[in-house]
Formats: sequence, structure tokens, C-alpha cells
Amino acid sequence: MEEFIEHIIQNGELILKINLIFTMVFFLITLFFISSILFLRYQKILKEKKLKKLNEALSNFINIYLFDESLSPNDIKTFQSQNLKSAFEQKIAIKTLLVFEENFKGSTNTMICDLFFMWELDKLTERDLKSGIWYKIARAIYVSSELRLIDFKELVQSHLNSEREEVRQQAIFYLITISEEKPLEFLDLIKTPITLWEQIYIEECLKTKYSGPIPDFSIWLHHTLTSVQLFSMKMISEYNQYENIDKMVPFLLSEKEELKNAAIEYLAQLEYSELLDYCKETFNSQTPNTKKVIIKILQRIGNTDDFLKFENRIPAHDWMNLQVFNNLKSNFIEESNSVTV
Amino acid sequence: MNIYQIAEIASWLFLFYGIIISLGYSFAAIFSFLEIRDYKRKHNFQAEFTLLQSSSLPSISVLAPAYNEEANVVENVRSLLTLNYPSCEIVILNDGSKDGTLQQLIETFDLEEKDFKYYQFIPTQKVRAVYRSRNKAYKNLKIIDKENGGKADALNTGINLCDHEITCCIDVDCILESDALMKLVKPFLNNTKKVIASGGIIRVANSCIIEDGRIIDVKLPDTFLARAQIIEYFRAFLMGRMAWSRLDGLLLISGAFGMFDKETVIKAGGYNTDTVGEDMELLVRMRRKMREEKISYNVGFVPDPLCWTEVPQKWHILHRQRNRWTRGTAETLWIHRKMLFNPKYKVLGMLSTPYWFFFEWLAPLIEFLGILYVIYLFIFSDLNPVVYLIFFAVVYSFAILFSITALFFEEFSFQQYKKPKYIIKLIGTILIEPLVYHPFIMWASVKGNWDLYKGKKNWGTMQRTGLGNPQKKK
Repeated sequence: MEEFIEHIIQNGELILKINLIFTMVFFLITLFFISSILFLRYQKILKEKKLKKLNEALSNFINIYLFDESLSPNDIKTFQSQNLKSAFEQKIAIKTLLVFEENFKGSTNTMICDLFFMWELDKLTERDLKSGIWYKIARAIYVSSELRLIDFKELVQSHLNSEREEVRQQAIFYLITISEEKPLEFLDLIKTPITLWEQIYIEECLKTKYSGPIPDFSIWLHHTLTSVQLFSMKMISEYNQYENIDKMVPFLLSEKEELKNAAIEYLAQLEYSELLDYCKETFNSQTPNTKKVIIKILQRIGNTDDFLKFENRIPAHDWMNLQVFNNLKSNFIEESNSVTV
Repeated sequence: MNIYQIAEIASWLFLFYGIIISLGYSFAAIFSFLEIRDYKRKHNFQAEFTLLQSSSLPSISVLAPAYNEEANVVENVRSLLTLNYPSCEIVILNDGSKDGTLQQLIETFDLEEKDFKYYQFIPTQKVRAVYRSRNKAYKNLKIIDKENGGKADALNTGINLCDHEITCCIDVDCILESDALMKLVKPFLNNTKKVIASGGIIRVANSCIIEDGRIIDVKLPDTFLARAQIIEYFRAFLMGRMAWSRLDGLLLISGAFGMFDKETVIKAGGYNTDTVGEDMELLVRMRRKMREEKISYNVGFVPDPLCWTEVPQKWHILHRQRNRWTRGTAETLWIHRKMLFNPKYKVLGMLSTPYWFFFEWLAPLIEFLGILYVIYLFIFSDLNPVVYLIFFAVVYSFAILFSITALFFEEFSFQQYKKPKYIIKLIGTILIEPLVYHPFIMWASVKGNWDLYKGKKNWGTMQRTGLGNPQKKK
């Protein structure tokens, strides 16, 4: 056995050396991470203290600025030179201004915007916009959008087809927000499909941030991107643009299933009178996905008999659609019963 | 070949394995760091809760199986009903409970039996009844009473009977953040490819203060066992899954909280009732099917802490859980062995499955063999203690480095444990964990493999002390 051990030690020397080196390296990196954790925590505590102090100073100052006319331009400059020296302090100032901006309207917001310029925070925003670093650009566009900084329109527009989706999204929201009319003009410029999430956001922005005239969404029905076409159909129905029904009807014959399905769904919402006949005639030859869309809109475009007649037209093997139908049927019967009662 | 040569080869093999595993973990740490950094940058300036008002968000069916949950089920359901999302149905699947789970639900939520007709897209045990509430306030609540068939079977029943195209499968006793559904559904919407599933980070809820079914204060558990699991969850989620998500090689979405495209689940055949690792097996099967059918797809991962769960506080329950996890991993890897080192499956075949095979399933076994080898040397030789010490030191130092890195990521990203004393306690736990907790987990895994070999199939009971009290609970 002694021989065996000697053999291990002699031949295993290299292994031991390697292990020893690794042990030391691992311990050193561990120490580095422990120090970093403690440093991060310490830094966070300091940052929070500083933040609290700065936030209080900023809130007090902005309140005085907004509601007390005693402040002179010199006071504003003095506050800036004393409190907003570093990029961190300027970012906090921007955040605080955004909070105020969100809570006020009209002339107060104009004053907030003026303060933003007087504190020269636009320089930081512009610098970020030109930085080429995606997260700084996205944040700067967000700030520009919230404060409606129209001066940056060209700069932001150049990011509309950015490689980063976060930048593209912020650019889209900015262009809607600052627009006084034609809020969706940017759709002509985009080259990347808009996701469902972006479509929902655009819709919300149109409802909450834009106050100009509602655009004619049919302009984009023949856009090169299918996602834009789908979006414009949705918007036509959402804003009840009945005058565009005729422009949507040809999509019922589209070779792209998603366009056809959208046309059926949104034409139903617009109560297109010929849709029921179209559904009756073409149901058997439609794909299961299109059949599902038709089943879901039947109650809206027809009467009870029209709906129930489709039960026998769903193939026995198409369980998915049979279930959709049965769910709708049971809800429908339940509703009828409650009305009767 | 004599004994010396065998010993030498074994030594080099153990070292080689150690280096490979260290490299794997180091790469995981780098990728996770990049992913966390990107995530922080993406979300540090904009709140998305305004979208919660949008009627355009897709409807979601939340499926929660319940088995003998009489004590907490009502509060758990109440908590689910307060989820902040414009359109969702809550489907509670009573999996043949032997206690008063169903009765509690019927009485509390004023349920009445409804006629139902359904199709078994996925074969399941018989459905006894479907209940809806008479009270309009609970109109989005559906209770399905079925014969016992296990969690996988219950979830399959829910998939068969739910109304919406996106299903969110959860453990009924999990505590979800109020905006959890919206955050988890985002990958489905913000993607040009078809998204088949998305998952999130699971956090440990033990000792946290809960009010009205929500976590209001994150506290560090007093027990070492729960704290060790917190560290383990940091490693698994902040380092493991974040990295795999970045590489598009995620093989597991936790059964406690995951969202799935119903159609893809049905086409893949639903949850496998023959394995105890049904959550991993489903995702692997879905991904495999998509790949085989050459359909472009994505799996989303949301790093926000969205779901909180109670972890075992007793060693024997933890043993049972890990035993089951090991069997689940082994079964999944066996079922999908065709994927291993198969370039046809790209990252999944060349990276993910080999990783799971060598470092998740095989690691405890190799470690166990290594310990046996050292014991053998210890008994049959008078080996220089320095040799032991050096081998021990390298393994121990790497173990604490890995955990400290995970803690660093937590500190860098979410900082859920706000009090400085918690950090000190967690560092202390990290120092002890490789000596006490890790060998236990290794033994549970070895035992799991043995049980699998012996044909054990059951789940074992998971006793919980309960979190679901809506009252402020300390």
C-alpha cells in the first residue's frame, strides 16, 4: 500500500499543483465577489441617502418654481450649479420632472418643460440620443416623449429602424406622442414588423397621448408589412371607420390566412352585412383556424338559428373547433335562460 | 492495467470532469450576467402597468391543480382571483381530493354544477363535474372536479376544458405578484416568432410577510435549510436559466409557474403522466416537436420575481422532493435520448441535453463515486492529509465561489433581501452549505437514481406548513 500511495503522490504532483492554484484563484475571486456584494450594498445605502436628499430638494424647488412666483432665473441657475453637477444628479432631476409632468396638465407642464431646458437637461438627453448606446438612446427617447420635446424629432426618427427593439419601440411612441396630426406617419418608414405588444402600445398611445384628428387607417391596408396591415384593420374596427369596410372586404379572399382571419373578425365588429353569407358559403373550405374565427363571430353577425346550424358543419375530427362551439353554445344558452328568468 | 494506473486514470478523470463542470458554470455565469444587465437596462425607465387597462391583451386560463388542500385552498383561490389582468379565467382542478377541498370551494364561492361537454384532446381521468359560481363577482372562476390522476393528469384536464388559447399552469399554493400574468404574457406578444411557452423566476416565500395573498415584506427564513434553498434557487434561476434563456437552450419551465400556448401543448400530447418530471418533459417534447416540424419558435423567460413558493423546511421532505426531481430528470433524458449530441436539434441537442445529462443528472453520481474513492483511499492507505486537504479545498472553494456569484447577481439585479444583516446571513449560509446541505442533496439524487432503477414511480407527499393565510402573518 505504501508503494501505491507513493506512486499517487509522485505521479499526482501535477494534479496537486493544479488544484492548489485553482483553490487560490477561486478563493481570490470569491473574496472579490464578497467585497463587491458589500460594496454594492454600501453604495446602495449611500445612493439612497443621497437620492432621498436630492429628491426632497428637487421636489421642494419644483413646487416653489411652479406655485410661488418669487423665484428668479438666477435661483434656478444657482440650484442647478449646486445640485445638478453630475450625470447621476441630472438623471434624478429628469426623473423627478417626469413625475411632476405626469401629475399635471396644461400650462404647468409647459413650465416643467421650461425648467428642463433652464437646467440644461436637454444637453444630457441630446448627448444620450447621439451616444450610440442603445439603452441610453431608448431612455433619452422616452424622456423626450414624456416631455414632448419636438426638437429631437429628426434625431429620434433616425432610430425608427434601429437594430434594438427597445429603441424602435420608444421611437414609435415618441412620434405618436409629439404628433399633432398624422400620428401614424411613421408607419410608412418602418421596415421591421410591429409585434402584437407594440400594436397594443400604439393603440394605447393613440387613445391616451394623442389628441389630434383620428387618421384614416385604410392608408396602411396595403403596407408591405403584414403586421401593419393587421394593425390598420384592427384600428379601422376599433374606431368604427365604416367608410373603410369596402376596402377591407377584398381581404376575405386573401391568400394569407392571418389577413383573412383579421378581415373576418374586424368586419364582424363593423357589422358588415354580407359577412354571414360569406361565412355560410365558404365555411367548409376554410382552414381550422379560419373556422374558429368564424365560429367566434357567428353570434354577433347572425341570429340563434344561424349559429346553431353551424354545429353540424364542423367536422367530427375537428375537436378544437367543436369545443369552441360548445363553449359558446353553453354560454349562449345560459344567457338566454337568465334573460327568460 | 494495474491498480496504480487505474488510480491515476481515475484521478485525471475526476480532475477533467471538475474542469469541464467549472468551465460550464463559468460560462453560465457570464451569459447570466449579460442577460441580467440587459434586462436591467431594458426595464429601468418605463412602467408597463398602463397596458393593464387594455382590452387587446389576450385572454389567459390559469390552471391550478389542488389535491387535499382543504386548509388553504379558499385563501389561495381568493389570492388568484385578485390577479391584475384584464381577461383571465381561474380554473381550479380538484384532483380527487379525499378531504373537504371541494366542499370548501362550493360553500365559499357559492358554486353550482354546470352541464358540460368536452373533448379529450389529451386523454385524462374522468371529469365528475364542472362548477361555476352563482355570484357574478366570481364569474371567471371555474372548478373542475375529477378523479385522481396526479398533477400532470389534472393539468391535462384543465387544458382540455379551459376556454382560452394561452394557459398558465401554477401550483395552487404559490403566491403570484399581482402583475405576474402581464409580465409572463409579454414574450408571447412581443415576438415575431411563435412563442410556445414562457417561464419566470421562482422565489422562496418562507418567512415572508403575506397580506391578502400578496408578499408585502421579503424576510430571510430563520432555518438554515430554507436559506440554503434560497441560495440554491439563486444559482438555478439567476445563473442557470438566465444563461440558458440567452442561449435559447431552456429545457425547463418550473411547474410552479409557467405559461404555454395551448395549441402547441395539445399537439405535443400534453403533460406526460408517466413521469414525475412532467414540467421538464413537456417543454422538451414541445421544443423537440417544433424543431422536427421545422417551425420557427421561441421560449420566453422573464427574470422578474413573479412567483413565490414555500420550500421544504424538513430534511425528509426535502429528500423526497429531490429524489423526485432526479427521477424526473432521468426519465426525461431517457425519453428524449435521441436528442443527445444530435446536431439536428442545434443548441438543445449539442448543449442543453448534454449539460443536463453530464452536469445535472450525472454530477451527483460522479461526486458520490469520488467520495467513495476518497473513503477507499482513507481506509486502505495512510495518504498524506495534505492531499485530502488540497482536493477538498479546491472543491469547496469552487462551490462557495459559484454560490457567491449567484448572490452577487441577486444583489446586482433585484436586491430582494433589503436588510444588510440578511446578506451577512446568506454569506454565512453559503460557507456552510457545501458541507451540510450539498452532500444531503447529492445523497437524495443518488437515492433517486436507485429508486428509479427499482421502478419507483410515485411523487411522495409534500407537506407544507402553509403560506396562504390572508392575515398578516409573521
